[in-house]
Amino acid sequence: MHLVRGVILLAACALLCISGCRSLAPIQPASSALHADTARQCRAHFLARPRQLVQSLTAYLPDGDVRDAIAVIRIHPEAGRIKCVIMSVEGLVLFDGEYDGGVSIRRAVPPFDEKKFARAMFADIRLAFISPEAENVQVGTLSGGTPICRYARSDGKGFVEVRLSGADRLEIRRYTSGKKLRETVNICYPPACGSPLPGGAGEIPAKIDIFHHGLFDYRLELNLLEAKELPRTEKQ
Amino acid sequence: MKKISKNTEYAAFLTVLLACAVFLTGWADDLETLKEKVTFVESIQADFTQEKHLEMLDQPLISKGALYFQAPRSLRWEYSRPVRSVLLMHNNEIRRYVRTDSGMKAQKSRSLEAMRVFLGEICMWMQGEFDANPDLEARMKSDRRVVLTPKDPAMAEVIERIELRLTDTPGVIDAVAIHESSTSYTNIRFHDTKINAGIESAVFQELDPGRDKQ
Repeated sequence: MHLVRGVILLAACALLCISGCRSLAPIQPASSALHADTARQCRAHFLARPRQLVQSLTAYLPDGDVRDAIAVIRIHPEAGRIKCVIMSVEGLVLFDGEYDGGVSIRRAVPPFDEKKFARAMFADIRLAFISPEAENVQVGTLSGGTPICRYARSDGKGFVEVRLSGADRLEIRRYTSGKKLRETVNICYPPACGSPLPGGAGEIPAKIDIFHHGLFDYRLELNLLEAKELPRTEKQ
Repeated sequence: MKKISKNTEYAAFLTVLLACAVFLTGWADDLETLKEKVTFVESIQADFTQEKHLEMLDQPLISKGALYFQAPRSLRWEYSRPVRSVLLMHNNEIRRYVRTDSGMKAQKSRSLEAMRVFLGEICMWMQGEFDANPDLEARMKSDRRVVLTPKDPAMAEVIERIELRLTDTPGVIDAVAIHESSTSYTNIRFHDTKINAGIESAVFQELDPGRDKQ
């Protein structure tokens, strides 16, 4: 009888651990030279100047359906302001809204008129393009040698990791404060991923894959069509 | 916040409208005689250039593609750039293919159902029944334009009006302008239009006719 109780207790502990005892991968401290280089590369990914990006967007929805659209995004990284218009391939505006500390929707057709959708979309854009506000940044390498920067968000809402996963590629992960993985963003720069920009050069990612993890997993694939720098003083 | 409800079907409708507006062919001075003038049209094919104008864009976003129509109810509306996208309609079946990382993939039919609702009316338009839709007011202007205006305020929130500019050649349309607001509109210009040139039925049934059996 004691044995049965013990097994049940162990099973319960295992279940609890699977669902709740998550942890972030350990980071090995880097040498000072590697530390500085990794920190620089992590910072370099995020936009330093205002940009307007035109992206093709393919959404892989939880029900298996696939939708396509085109997104025009204006990002002012210093102010944290974002404006976004999503339109059908045929040109019909599906969503027109902005984020400036809060979400406002100027125009939207269902299902894009849900605030929840707008909040998630702006959070995706912030995660992919704007450096997280962090109280501290842990820099080093993962056990496999991948350089990593881990930002503990200053709003207490979890962690953001930038993993320098290869030449022209990096991965951004967002965890909750409970260390649960919520989003993975795979980013690919030219020349590994072709760029439509003149010369194929690229300080702007050519391809971005955003994976949402949770009960309703979905994936967004963004491919760069156009990019231009905006004046810093421009009002949205 | 300008929140629009009850318009999912309108969104799909407008998409199809874009695709089918070109079929307002065979010109006349009024809508009544227009129908009689288009009876000779059995098929149309044309290339198009689409310009999307937005307040936040200095330059319009340019898309290119082609359309194919076979009377009475077959349609292919295809974008080749910047993103490939193919809409097929044949025998009352609608299919749409979108580009994915593993090639072109068909959308689930459920997401196309809203389009189906309006396709019957579109077919009437192709046959010259421009004023058949009670939700749209159709007017023929003296400068060879047909202007469609939504009567339903909910629909008018999505689109203000549609203008079709006709050429002086029966069966050939010059351009379509879809005005969503004063700062957001789409211009589609048609070129290399061919009437009754003969189109294989596979064009309306297969993603890549002759090459692809998806």
